[in-house]
This record gives sequence, structure tokens and C-alpha cells, in this order.
Amino acid sequence: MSKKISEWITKYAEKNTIVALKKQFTSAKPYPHLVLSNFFNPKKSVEILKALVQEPMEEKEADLFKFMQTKDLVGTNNKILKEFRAFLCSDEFVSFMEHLTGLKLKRGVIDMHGTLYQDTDFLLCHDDQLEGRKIAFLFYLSNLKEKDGGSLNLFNSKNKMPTTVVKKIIPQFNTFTFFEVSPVSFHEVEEVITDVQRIAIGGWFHGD
Amino acid sequence: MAINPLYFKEENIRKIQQMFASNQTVPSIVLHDFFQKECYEQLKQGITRAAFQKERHPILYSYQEATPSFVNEGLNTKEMLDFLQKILNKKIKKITGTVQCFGWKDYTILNDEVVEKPGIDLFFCLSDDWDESYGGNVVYVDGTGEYTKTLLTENMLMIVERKKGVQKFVQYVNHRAQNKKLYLMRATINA
Repeated sequence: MSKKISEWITKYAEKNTIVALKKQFTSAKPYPHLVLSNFFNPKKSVEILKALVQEPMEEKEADLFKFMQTKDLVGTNNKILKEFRAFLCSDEFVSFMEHLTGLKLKRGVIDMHGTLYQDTDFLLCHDDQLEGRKIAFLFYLSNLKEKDGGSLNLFNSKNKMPTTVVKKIIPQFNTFTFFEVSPVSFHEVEEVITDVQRIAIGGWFHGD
Repeated sequence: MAINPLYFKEENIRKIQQMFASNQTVPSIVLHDFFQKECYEQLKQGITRAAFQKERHPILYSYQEATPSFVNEGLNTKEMLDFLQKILNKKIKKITGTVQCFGWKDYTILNDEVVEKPGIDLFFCLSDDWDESYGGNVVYVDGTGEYTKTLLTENMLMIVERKKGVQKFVQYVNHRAQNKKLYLMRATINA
């Protein structure tokens, strides 16, 4: 394990663990995904949260969604956010993701935003497909309960159309979730229905 | 369906025609207190007895729909057709409509593969206690980022000419609506 990986990731980077997680990823239903709790160095995760809430956010609203979002964090001036982004783009971490997913990913290229969902915010069902996107990821920085709403819901599909929600992922602090972007990677963020703040960093790894 | 007689005064019709045409991208007009009160109350009662069915396709829409016979009968009365023909300066043979019911978690989404042909939309609202904060606004977008958002309120008719490239959606209805329902009687007159 490289020094960089061990500085950032807690317990998932051992060789045996990676083999088991790859099996878990590829066999996950309704489509390949993983939910890894206590994923990053906890001290750094707290620093990232503190930094993210200082970043300017703007309201995004359309037919499909309503929430607050930062600009792409490629433009941030914050030290820890820059370091975090550099780590996610690094050869070490991208190689780690390739081992987990079996997908070939680009180094140095990543889309990455901070998001804030508050009462009545939502993201309706869609597949995330856009040229080049291979892996969608979410790094949760809040603890939610089922009663708050705000879960990431994954849909089953039939004839490449979404049918029903078969998995609900309730955001928990320092959980790293990712899934393969494909014609059937239908998902939604359930409406937040309490005064909780659902804070996360999300984005995409790209393929060659 | 008895229309408010104010909307048959020549002076008012001229004003409505002017207002309708003033928005060149999305010509539209909103007419409050459109039906006479008794007629509006009868319509509301009729809607509550209609047999609604859930229509859900997660990436496109979620709502309930019904087509009670009085809707199309009412839309095709001589009075209604005469009124619309005057406002739109267009011969109209027949209008086909339905009633859609939006509650918590309902919506419609734009989709590049499901594009409506240009036409004239009619939306009539049959809900008395709907608040803007619940969502459910009808939004028209022209593909360039410009949009027109209208909250439909009780006994209100909205007429919108949807030109090429203009599409519409009904905003997601959030939990603040609780058990309340937004009933929209809607029809499209093809261009």
C-alpha cells in the first residue's frame, strides 16, 4: 500500500479486501455499486466538511432537481479540498478504483462538486449517462435517518427502463458510495423532508 | 360549461388577444374566475367522483389521470369553442382533454426523446387550497434557459401557444402538500 493511499484511506486498501470488494461490486444489485463506510481518514473528512461549508453554493432548479451546489471543485482555493481532489485524481487512487471495479479509468480527470440538499430538495430518477462518465461517486458528509428522506435510491430496470426502487442508501458521515454509469444505472435522491442538511461531495470518474 | 360573461365583452377580448401575443417566445394568457361560480363548483364535484388511475414512468412522469365524459363535453360546447376561436383567431373543430391529479411525489420531466409537437395548451385548475410552496407549477422552457412559470390557482384557465422548441413540465410536488391534490384539466389543440 502506498503512503498516499494509507494517508487517506482507512481499511479498504489491503489486497484481500480489494478482491472481496470487487466481487461485491460486480455482483451488487440492481447494478454494480459499493457502499463503503468509514472510508477516508476521519480527521481529513472533518476538515473537508468544514472547508466545504465555506465554499459558495448556488441553487440549482429544473424539472429533474432542486438543490444547492458548488462550482466544480477544480477551481477551489481551499487547501484540504485541493488535496482531496488531487488524491481522487491520483494514479494511486484511480488504480485502486480500477481494481475495485474492473473498469479502465482516466488519471487526472474528475468532475467534482459539493452539494447541499435541504427541506424539499430532490433529484428525480435518471441514469447519469454523459459521454466519458464511467463511475459516479458520492462522499457523504452528513448523518441522515430514514425519516429525513435524502436517501440515494437505486432502481431495478426492465427493457432498459426503470421500474421500482430496490435499494436505499441512507447517507452516513464518511461513507464513500459509487456505481458504474450505464444505460440502466437509474437512481434518484429522495426528497429531504425534515430540516436536516444533507451535505456531500459527488462527481464522476471518466473512462478512456 | 358556463364561462364568466366578462370574457365575452369585445373590449376584454381585444385586451386578451393583445396580452396573449405580447410574449413572443411563449404566447400565453391567464384568465382568473374563468367559469361562473356554480359551474366551477359542479366541475369540482365531478372531478372528485372521477375514476383516477396512477400513471408512472419514473424518468418521465408520475400523476393520476382520469377522463370523465363531462370534460370533453364541456370543452366542446359552442360557447367554449367560440371563445377560444376568438382569442386564438383560429378555427377549432374539436378539443380532447383529460384531468391530471398531482399529489406529493408527482411530477413530469422533460425528455429529448418525447418531444411534443407545437400546439396550444389549455390548463384549467380545479384546486382551491394549493400553495406555491408545494410545487406543481407549470413551467415552459424554450431550450435556451428562458422559462415561464405559472402557479395555477382555483378557477383559472391558462392558454399557452407552444411553438417549436418550447416544452413544458409540471414541477415536483413536495411533502408540504401533505394530502392535498392539484387537479388540472388539460387539453392540447394541435397547430
